Amino acid sequence: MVLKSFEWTYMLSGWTLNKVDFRPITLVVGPSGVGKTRLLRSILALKAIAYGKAISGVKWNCLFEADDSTQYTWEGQYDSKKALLTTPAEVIDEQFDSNDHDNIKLESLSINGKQVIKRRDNEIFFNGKLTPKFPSHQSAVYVLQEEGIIKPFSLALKSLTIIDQTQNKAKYIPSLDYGYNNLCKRQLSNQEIIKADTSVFGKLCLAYKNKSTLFDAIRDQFVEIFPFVEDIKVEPIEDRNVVSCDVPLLQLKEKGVKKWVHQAYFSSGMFNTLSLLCKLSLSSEGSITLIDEFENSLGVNCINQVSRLILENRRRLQFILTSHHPYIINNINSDSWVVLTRKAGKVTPKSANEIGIGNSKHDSFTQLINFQSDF
Amino acid sequence: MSLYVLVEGYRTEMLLYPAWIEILRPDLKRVRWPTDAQGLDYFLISGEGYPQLLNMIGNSILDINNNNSFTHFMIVVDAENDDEEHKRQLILDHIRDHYSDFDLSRVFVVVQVRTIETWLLANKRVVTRNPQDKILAEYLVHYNVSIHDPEFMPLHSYFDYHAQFHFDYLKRLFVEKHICYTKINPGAAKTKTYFNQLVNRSNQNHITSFKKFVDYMASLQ
Repeated sequence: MVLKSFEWTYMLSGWTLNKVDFRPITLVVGPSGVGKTRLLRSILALKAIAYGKAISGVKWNCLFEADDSTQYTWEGQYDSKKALLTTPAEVIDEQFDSNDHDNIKLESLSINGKQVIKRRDNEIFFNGKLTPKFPSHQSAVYVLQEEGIIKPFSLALKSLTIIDQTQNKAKYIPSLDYGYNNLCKRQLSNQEIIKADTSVFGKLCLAYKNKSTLFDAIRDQFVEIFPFVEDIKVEPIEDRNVVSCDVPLLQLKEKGVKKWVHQAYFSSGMFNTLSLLCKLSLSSEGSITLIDEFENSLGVNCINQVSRLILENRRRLQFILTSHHPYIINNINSDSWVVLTRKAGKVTPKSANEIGIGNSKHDSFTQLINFQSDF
Repeated sequence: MSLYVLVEGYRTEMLLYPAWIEILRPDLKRVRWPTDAQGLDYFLISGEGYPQLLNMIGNSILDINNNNSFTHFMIVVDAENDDEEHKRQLILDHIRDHYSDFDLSRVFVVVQVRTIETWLLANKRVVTRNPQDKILAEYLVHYNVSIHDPEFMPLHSYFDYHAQFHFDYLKRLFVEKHICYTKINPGAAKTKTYFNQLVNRSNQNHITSFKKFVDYMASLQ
């Protein structure tokens, strides 16, 4: 499934993101402070709502399209009586486990133009029939997630992931993952690994454990980007003083260095590159990945190769990236750009064509800088 | 007649040149894109620093050739530690060597000796005689810009580059006068009053590289 368009309003502060259209690869550009990260965080908030979390004071409208061209239009609005004047991302963190929720005021889901969920305050119609009451702060998409026609949409929302370049490498311990623990006991095919209900790191461990060609491909790509690396593996480390259980950890072997290095000591660039390689090879088809400041921690030795891998990806994966880097901006066709502009709290996306990119022979990055200068 | 302007800096020049061109040639209208220029217009673009500016000359020439309205091409660079004429010649030679079809008589190179802040130091009104700031007092002893031509100021031992020193000198003068000055907000330096002070100074045979820019703008037909 791909996200085709998205609109978002945070009513308390009046922050409004006008409708943004997306492509399989979308590069979001614009000056610092215009709202690029907030756009990604707001998209990610859809996932929280799909998991039954309440996000006070927000209003959304989004369109997803499945591989078979089925279109899902989902819109909704939460009350803002209990909301704090914070950004949606902060609200998500703070209110995930709170009992003091705002209620959903309005919600609608249409499939190919036919309204299947209609909700106003606590009255919910599913396929035209009034449903029994359910918690007023939880979305109907969450409550009805097991219904046949809702399930694909619910799964697509849950597949939304963000690559946070500042991520803590130590967090990626697959054995703490329930899905991984269930699956690591038996032999799996490549397709089963890709479809496994676990994180991409869990899938990488499964690929290693199953001696899958998926793992070999990831290793080969990684070694091509970092030629001083000889091999990678996912095994418990031998030094029992560091980790006291049989936790499989990512490790790499550098040429001319005797000892294997484990994931906590990977450079950020190496770790992020490996994360991305895993995403590209192991994500389920139809998954949507958000990457904020794509260039972060990628050195000159890998930024071009990693960008190329994303651009050359032929699997059905959607990437929504933000970047300030000239290499990335110049190498992603300006037809795939969303240029964010902001007036006070109102963020308006524009296409590269609309702002005049292409009206000069200078490279796209230079033209963008020129557009952003005071005029 | 339209003018294509390529400036070395990204921040200060992109703010000061439009302000100055408006004072010097209010008949010239700035356009957002080079394809928009049609009559008395000018297009301004940053060269994103030096030597990156050299790489941008080629695409600038393509822009100029793409629109017949462009009759003139002005390139603005810092002299920094180089000699003014040598720097000018370096730019012209680069065009001659790489874009031999382009008529050099259409090109005018403004060499800011040593940098744009050097010119701004020439406003006598921003100089405080007895500053509170001890470093500024030291700078004034090193070289009093209200008396001597800022273009000839020797480098202070605290710095490796003229541009850093001149920026710091100017910033301290402004702080002493409670005026805000940053690369992205040159504030008072954008005003007509400030500009006129620079013109007055250039008429006293100081900041002659600035005078060349002023005269060139007046001569454009």
